[in-house]
Amino acid sequence: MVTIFDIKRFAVHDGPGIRTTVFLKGCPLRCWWCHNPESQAREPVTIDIERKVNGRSVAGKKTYGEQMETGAIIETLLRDRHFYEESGGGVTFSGGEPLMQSSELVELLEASKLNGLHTAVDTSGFAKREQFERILGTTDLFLYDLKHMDPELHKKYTGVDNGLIHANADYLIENGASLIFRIPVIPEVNTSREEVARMIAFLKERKESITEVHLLPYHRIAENKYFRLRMKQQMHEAKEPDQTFLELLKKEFEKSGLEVVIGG
Amino acid sequence: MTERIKRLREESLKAINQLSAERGLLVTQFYEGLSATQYSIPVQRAKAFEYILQHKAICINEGELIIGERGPAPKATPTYPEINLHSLKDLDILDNRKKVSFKVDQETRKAYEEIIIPYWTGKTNRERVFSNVDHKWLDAYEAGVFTEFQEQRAPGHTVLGSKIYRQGMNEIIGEVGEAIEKLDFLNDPEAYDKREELNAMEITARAIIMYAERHADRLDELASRELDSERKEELQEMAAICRKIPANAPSSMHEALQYYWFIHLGVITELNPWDSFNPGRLDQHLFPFYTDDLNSGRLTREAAVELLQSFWIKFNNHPSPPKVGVTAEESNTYTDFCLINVGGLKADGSNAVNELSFVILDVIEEMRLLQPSSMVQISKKNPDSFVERTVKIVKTGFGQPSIFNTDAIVQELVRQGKSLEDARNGGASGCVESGAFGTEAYILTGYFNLVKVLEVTLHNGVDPLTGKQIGIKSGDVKTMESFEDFLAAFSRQLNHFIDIKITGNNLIERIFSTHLPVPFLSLLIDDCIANGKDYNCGGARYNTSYIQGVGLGSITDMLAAIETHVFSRQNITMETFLKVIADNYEGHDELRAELLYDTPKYGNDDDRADQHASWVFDAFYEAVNGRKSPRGATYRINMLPTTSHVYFGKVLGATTDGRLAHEPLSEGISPFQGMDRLGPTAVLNSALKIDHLKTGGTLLNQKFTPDFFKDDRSIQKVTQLIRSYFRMDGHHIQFNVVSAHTLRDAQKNPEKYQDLIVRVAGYSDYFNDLGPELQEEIIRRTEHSST
Repeated sequence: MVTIFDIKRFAVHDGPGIRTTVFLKGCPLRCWWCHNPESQAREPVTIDIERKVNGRSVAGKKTYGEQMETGAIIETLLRDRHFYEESGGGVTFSGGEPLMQSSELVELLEASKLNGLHTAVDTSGFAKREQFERILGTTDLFLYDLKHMDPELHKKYTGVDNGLIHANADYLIENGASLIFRIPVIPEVNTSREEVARMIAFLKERKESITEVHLLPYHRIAENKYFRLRMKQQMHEAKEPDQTFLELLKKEFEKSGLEVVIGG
Repeated sequence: MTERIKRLREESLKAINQLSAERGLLVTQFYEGLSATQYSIPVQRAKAFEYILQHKAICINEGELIIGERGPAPKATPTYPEINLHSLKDLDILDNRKKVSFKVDQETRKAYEEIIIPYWTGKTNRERVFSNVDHKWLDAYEAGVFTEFQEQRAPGHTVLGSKIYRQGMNEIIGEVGEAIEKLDFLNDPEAYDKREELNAMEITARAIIMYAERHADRLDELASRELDSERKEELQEMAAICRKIPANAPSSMHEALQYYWFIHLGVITELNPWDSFNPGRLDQHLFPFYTDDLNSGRLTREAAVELLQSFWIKFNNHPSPPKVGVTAEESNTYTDFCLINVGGLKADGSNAVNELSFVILDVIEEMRLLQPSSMVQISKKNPDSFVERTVKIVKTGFGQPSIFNTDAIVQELVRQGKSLEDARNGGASGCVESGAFGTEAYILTGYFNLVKVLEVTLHNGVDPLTGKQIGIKSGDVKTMESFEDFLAAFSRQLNHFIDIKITGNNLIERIFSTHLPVPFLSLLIDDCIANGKDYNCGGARYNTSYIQGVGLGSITDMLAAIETHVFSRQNITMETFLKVIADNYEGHDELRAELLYDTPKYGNDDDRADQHASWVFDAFYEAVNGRKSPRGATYRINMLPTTSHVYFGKVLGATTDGRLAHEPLSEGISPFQGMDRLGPTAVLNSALKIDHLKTGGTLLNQKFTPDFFKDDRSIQKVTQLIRSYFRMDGHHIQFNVVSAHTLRDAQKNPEKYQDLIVRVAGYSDYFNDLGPELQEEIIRRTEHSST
């Protein structure tokens, strides 16, 4: 059984082509800007919601998190196979941190490959080396987060150290994996001149092994989710980056010969 | 856009719809002067046509390159009193109503009062139709089980093939003569009828030549008075064109376009056929002229564009002829459904996209007009660049072009018995209807309200809105033990009403065959001449009659609710269902919330719901497909509503899917508005659970916010979405690209959004011209965003 919190079809920002993204529940990180707070806990969460009928409210419940058999997930994935084939798409496993359910992820990836699907894993990079080792052969593409280069600040904003993350990235590169680095762009967190320079330096060094760099602008869309989940949001009143800034940033990264996409 | 096109376009947009009594008066004068026994009916009709073309005013607007108007001025709309007669009250309503009014001046009113109404009262075809159908038909019709297309308009719905680009009318008259010579009066019992029909065709062919010459004379006159030497030369050239065509085959793009336009005017003057005639595969027909003109230096690319743009404006000058009757709710649209086809396949099966296809796409984008509407045909053999260019126009958000699957259309037509070549020369017309262009009479006969049949089934044959028994007694649903029993009862009602509809169709078809032949249209559609038979009598090579199913998404959700709650979960009894729908869900919010939010819905790739869509579709198909009509046509189905899903919703009470009384139904094969929650691939998969190839067209509407098309990558993904749907035999998809916010603002400030065109259902219309329900519905349609 896999604990998931969503399956999003026609996902067009999680790798090439038209994809289905399976969101696995549970995450070792606690990023301040997390826009999927419902993904953090490993167990399902049920909250009260209001449903609108004729402008009146009817009480209802919504559960974030569901136990699903691997087979049932694969069945859902295969429903859109013609879209993947036509577009060069496939399936993306995201989270949370999908490697939190490491053996379930291994099973999902193997079943996906058996059915001929292109596979991507969207990871924070914060997992044990041997967990990466087990999925290397069945993962066609890693979407790999790069949140902050400064170890102290990384720990402050995400709760974990970035040493392991960088080491795992290098491990994947050494083993010939295909990587897209994804950088959340959060004003006043990781957009300073020095920080950007450090990120570029990191990526430039590994340029030959990087398919693309995605700049993911921070959105405030999750504020209401925090409220409904009664979770505290540490990132209040953060600004969303404007388009001009993103374009400048993109140019800056491109100077190093990197392929850069805003929004992924 | 050149200054002249800018001005003509502006004038066309600003022109005010008015009702013109010209045609009504001419046709009255003609019939008044006719001795009853003088001519056979086809010849009468041909002479009436000739009389109108001889006497109607010639309209040439300043600066025009393509000339000719159906009425005396742009947007002056003729009437057809031999079909339907406007009363003085109708004229007042048309003059005063808020939406799409037609101004009626004192002179027109007087002509109606003193001449047209006195002559035609008791003689119209509409009266003939209603006095012939029986009470069962009338009951079902009045209850809104179906509509009748031919009640106020003539059978039409066909598209011109390549004939006029190869042949002038003189040559066609020669063919008619040969057909007359071949008649066998010794053995063929129909020889006399055929001769009369063929004679009639010849009269109309000569009439259109005469009509063009009248334009040539006027052009010469204008040229002689013209002071601007450039325009003078242009007018002289146009006069020469009007003397050459339609008598002779065209040899330049300008001649080809002007020839088509005279033909167009002829067809829509002869009668008021449904879904206005159109040139169909324009890029294919014009391409040889275009390359020849460019190579010989006769035309620059810019001049070719200007000609096409002038041609576009002509279509926009023609709203569809207004109906009679107080409400006219069945279809509250007045666009005339000309649908230009671009792309697709050549007769030999190769890729048909050429340079002119792209030029025409530019014209569509730049003109942004309601009419002509436009579509692209996309085959797996067409290049991605063509699809991407199309998506970039779709992105600009005026609902055009709509997007069709050529490979599906060809399979549909071949399945119906057309030759592969004729199928490849075809396309779609009207909203989404497949046809073999130039060789087929495919006549839509009416929308069929699948949901009403289910409502009547739930009430054992009674229409709950009137208490009248309109169906058979199919059983008390409260005592039914299984869902299968319930479906069997529905099937019996369905077949009962289809029989009633087809009985009426057959009668009305004979009425048109007998009383209102169309010899001019028959000249143009193969093989009417060779068969010596009229278009309305089965003269075409292929003859099809369609019944259009409406409410697939709604009925699927209704059946899913009944199956889920009454028979599977057993948490709502049939009795409760009957009570809550009778109460219109007043006081039943919780139950309604369960139906809306916690019941399988069509559009989510959920087999628990979608299995019912396939079942209903198959039942409808079995009831209709393959039956024969008197003219030798075969009945087929297609799944499109135009705007009838609004009217059909109005005649319904609340339904078991949680829909409230009188609200619109789902349109086409799209999910009920707002019920698709898993994005476009799930919607498309649901829609693919019916077999599109068994239809003559399905309509799928997807509303996207502009964000969805924001960059080349997104456009590529939309292209891939379309390709995937088509690979699985989807027939058609169209996109509404506009934000709900914009639409809300347009409702509040209509004056600011007069140019706002939205996709309604198979066609586009001005948002401001739509009724409030339709506006609401368009806003509600799920917006898929790309985030």
